[in-house]
Amino acid sequence: MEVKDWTSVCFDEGRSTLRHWREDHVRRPEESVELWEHVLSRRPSALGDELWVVYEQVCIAALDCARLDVAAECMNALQKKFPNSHRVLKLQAMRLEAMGRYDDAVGVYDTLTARDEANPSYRKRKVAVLKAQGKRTEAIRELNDYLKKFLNDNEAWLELSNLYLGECEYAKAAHCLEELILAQPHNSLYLQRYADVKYTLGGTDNVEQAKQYFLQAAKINPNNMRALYGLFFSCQWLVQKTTGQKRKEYVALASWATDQLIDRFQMAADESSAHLDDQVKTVEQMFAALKLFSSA
Amino acid sequence: MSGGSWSTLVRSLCFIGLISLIHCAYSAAQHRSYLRLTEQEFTRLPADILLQTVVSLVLICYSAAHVAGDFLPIRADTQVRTKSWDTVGNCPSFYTFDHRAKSLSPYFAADLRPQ
Repeated sequence: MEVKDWTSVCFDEGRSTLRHWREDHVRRPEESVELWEHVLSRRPSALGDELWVVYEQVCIAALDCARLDVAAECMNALQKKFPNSHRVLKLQAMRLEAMGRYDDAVGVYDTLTARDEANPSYRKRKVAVLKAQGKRTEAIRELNDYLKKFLNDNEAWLELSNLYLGECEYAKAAHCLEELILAQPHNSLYLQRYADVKYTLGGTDNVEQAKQYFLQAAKINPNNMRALYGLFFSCQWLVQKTTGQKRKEYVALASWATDQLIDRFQMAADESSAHLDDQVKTVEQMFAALKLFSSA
Repeated sequence: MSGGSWSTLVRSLCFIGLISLIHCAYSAAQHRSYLRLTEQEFTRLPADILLQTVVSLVLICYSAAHVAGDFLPIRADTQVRTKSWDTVGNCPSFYTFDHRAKSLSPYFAADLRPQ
């Protein structure tokens, strides 16, 4: 990732970059604050109605990189414009969290939940508070209760899978990722992550499933290097556990994965004139070792 | 060379179909003006114009599909393809702020004395 100097970009580029980061949920807090301070805050009126959403985004980014002064400035502006707003109150509770005053923040979230039962974001913030305090098991319990009420919240399933992975409960994390795959079956990243978890679980059935999911992820997005490597390693593992005809299939799949990997490396080397010969050699040697083993 | 001659044949079929369809439209218009001149009622177009319209429509559809090239699978994930796990794996509602970035703050007073 190249390092860009955001202080000298033009206003429109800064505005569209912030909008792109906002819509894609990109977490680049320092650069967001830099863009705001040096580029956009010079002409805030030119942003029009987008100004308030930008204030919210910059506020959260400022809390993320501990710039409480910028956060306070944004919150004052939002408070002046929207005096009795729940959304601004939520931002203030997030500021309390950033300062470490978790009990006060939870109090604010409880008040907000009491006033507005249907809004899921306050419950999610309470789970985040538990996570920040290190109480992962309570966070998991709260999040499970939340998901019983709000079943199709993809973000919550993803967060729950991360919490389970932190607790090394791989089977439950796999279940959460299955829910995500149900919601977005064409997302190769979810498929690859599910396959990663299944591969970690180990055992012939799980690695066989992992191989299937890695293959699907690689077919959907041929640039997904992790899926290609995952496919190769699951085939390698399976070759050690099987004999005969199945071995040939696994070696054929591994050979396809190797070819795809080498293609990608060569394409990347052409584009960026990087020296990727070592990677190509490593992949070739891996496959040669596999072939030798399988024919032995 | 059969590929080249097939594609020129298909293109010429498409062209013929288009000309035929325009001809149908013109003859239908002419038919209606003839009926108006002879003060007859207009109930339906004559069968040969209808037949020619349908045949030229089928011809155009088939040859245009061949001119356009091979069918591609519909990809449901063209936007998601370019994203990495850094963005897709983010849960913005669950962001916590107790990470190392606190030390980047200008107000961070680290207690460096050994405990």
